[in-house]
Amino acid sequence: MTEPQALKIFSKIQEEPEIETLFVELANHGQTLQPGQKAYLQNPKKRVKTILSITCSVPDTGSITNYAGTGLNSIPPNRIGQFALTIVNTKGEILLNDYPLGALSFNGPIGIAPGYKGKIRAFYLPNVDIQKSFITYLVAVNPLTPSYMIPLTFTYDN
Amino acid sequence: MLNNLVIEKSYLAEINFSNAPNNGQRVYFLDIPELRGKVVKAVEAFSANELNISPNGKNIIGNTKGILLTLTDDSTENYYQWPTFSLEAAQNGGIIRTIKARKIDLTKSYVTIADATTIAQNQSVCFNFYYE
Repeated sequence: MTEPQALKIFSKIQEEPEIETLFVELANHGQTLQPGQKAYLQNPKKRVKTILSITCSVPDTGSITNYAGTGLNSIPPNRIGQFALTIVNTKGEILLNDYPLGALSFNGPIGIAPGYKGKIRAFYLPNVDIQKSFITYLVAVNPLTPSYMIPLTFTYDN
Repeated sequence: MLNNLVIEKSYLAEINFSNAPNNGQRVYFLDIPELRGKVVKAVEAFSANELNISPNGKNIIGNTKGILLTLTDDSTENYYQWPTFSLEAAQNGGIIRTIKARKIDLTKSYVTIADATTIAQNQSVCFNFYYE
């Protein structure tokens, strides 16, 4: 990618053409999330073609604490390091392989200074197949109990 | 505020210290077919601050201060003994360290242990390679 192309993408993200937060449910109610288990990104309201930014909006990093009426609560911020995000395109090609969610938070890991200082990560991920993209739970101990979700805020360009 | 890099593709690479390493020891990356011949444009390191467990189920080191990264292009060590701590975005205000876009031979790239006391047996360190 050339510098002018990158500048064009930065400019487009700052325009924020479309934003959507997906609440990724980690396990069906009554189940416990197991290590290695995948939670697929599902049911985007908007048609997803190109992703320009991704932010993991858990409490203290993005202010979302729960999704009223669904019984789903956001994972606590100290759990963010236990997940990784994989994004695939419509050809099945992996664009992001096991991207640590801890790197997608707004302010950075708890207790780490200076952290990310609110920087949003810029992406150019064309032709994304959002429903084949997923979050992987990595931890073998202290499994999360049901009813947790992870809010992921995307900027799209369609 | 936006970050400094437009991320097109990334791959999480892991180095596992299956034996407790010694000071000065080199530990090489394994071959990752997806990164063969790819042009790498940035590198990011992760400690347990951002990633508790690797996808292979290994505990991640608590801090990266005792590790130096060397990246090799063909036979040239263009990035030699780069302090891994400086590649951890959470430690530098969120900046991802970019490099001159070039092919990296991962099998000839390695970390050098500068302080073995920071690493326990069977822990890992992970790096995101951003490529085109």
